[in-house]
Amino acid sequence: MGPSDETLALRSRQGDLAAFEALARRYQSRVYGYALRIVGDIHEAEDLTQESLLRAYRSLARFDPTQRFVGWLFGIAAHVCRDCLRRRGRSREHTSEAAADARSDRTPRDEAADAEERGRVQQAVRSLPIKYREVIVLHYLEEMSYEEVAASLGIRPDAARRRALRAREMLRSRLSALA
Amino acid sequence: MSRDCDKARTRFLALEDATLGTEDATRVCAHLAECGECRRAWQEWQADGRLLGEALRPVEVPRDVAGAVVAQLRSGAARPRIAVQRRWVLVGGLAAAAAVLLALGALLLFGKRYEQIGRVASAEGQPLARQRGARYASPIAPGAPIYDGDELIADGRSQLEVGIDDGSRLTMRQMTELLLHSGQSRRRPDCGLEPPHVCLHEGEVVIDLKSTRRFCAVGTPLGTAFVRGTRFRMKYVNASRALLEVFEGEVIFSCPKGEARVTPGGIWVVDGAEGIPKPAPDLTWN
Repeated sequence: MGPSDETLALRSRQGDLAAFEALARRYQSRVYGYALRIVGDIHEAEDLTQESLLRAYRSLARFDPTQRFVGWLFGIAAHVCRDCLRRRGRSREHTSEAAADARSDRTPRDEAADAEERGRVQQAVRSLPIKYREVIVLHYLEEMSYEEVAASLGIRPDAARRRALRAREMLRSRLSALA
Repeated sequence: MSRDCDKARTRFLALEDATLGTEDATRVCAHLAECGECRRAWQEWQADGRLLGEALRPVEVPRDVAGAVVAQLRSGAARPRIAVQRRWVLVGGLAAAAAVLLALGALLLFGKRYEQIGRVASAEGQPLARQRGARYASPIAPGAPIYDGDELIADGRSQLEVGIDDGSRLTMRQMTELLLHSGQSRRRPDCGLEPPHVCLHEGEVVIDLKSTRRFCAVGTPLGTAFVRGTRFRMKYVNASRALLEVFEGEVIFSCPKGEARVTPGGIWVVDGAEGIPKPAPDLTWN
């Protein structure tokens, strides 16, 4: 097991780029996964991952080593994705998310059936307003507790739970409509 | 749908998350056992949860974004992308930056030169403080202000306790010299250590941190102790030995030879030749 995230973050803060590279490699796929589920476009998700990591490096002076680094990093990624969606507006429809989900260990028929199901759920998640979507993605993709989700998004834990409950209700009705 | 159904359904999230109290969980389970409609709703809820877990599964980033970021940082060319159609944002940003620069200039010219970070809580003997840039150290008494960048000195008959404005406490034992870099000032510390820290030149300091706003590390020439919500003490004995004892939380001791996690349970010794701290159960602090 290598050094902890927090130790690497402190070393990065002292200008140790090798430490930051180790951190960035540790989290690049997770940040990418989050960005992809939020914006729904593989190319945009790559750009947002890059921007999130750069922004994290520049903001290391504000990182509190008593907090978990991963929560802090996803807080930055959430901001970056929100900014992107604000810039983008609602004019563009993104459909490349499913391309990232292909798994080579399945038969094409199984994969197609699963992909259809996943696509339906992903579409329903994408249709949620951003404040509900980010709670759902952090909880189900990142497997964060609602306390951790709340810390990342800068909201109270009960607010995170309320949003999750509302999101699940919206998802239920949208999934029923899509079925 | 009855009132009980409503109550049960608003608790599905907590039930799934296992954060519902035992009494509430028992009540919801009892309701599910007798209400077929809610039982179906709960089954749908669980199925949706599984679907979400499957649909939002992790993915691999298709290219080496980390490598690209670090290359960008190494070349010093790390700049946020700006969309062409958003040029007006750049113009506005430049205007705002100019205003900020003017304000900073005014602050540099007219602002306070030293930032107070705490006060002397108690003192024994005749401890001294030397402000950054001052030629001589002056005696300090309880209530005296302590500034970022101060060098504090306790001789063989003096001790000093400093209350930091974030609630933390630093206690300097006899024969101790240290320098405070709270990280809030614009000046860079001479020792090269970036995070807000206490630079321990000689002797022993006991630290009870309430936050890491002012300090999050103690640096010595042998290595640096990074803290996490911690109460601990550190003694820089000489160029080849330092002692560390953690009372609460943990300390990450980092030096050129590596790092070690120091937890409560006795004294750890840092041997200059080996670098990494090791438990020293037979050693006494003095």
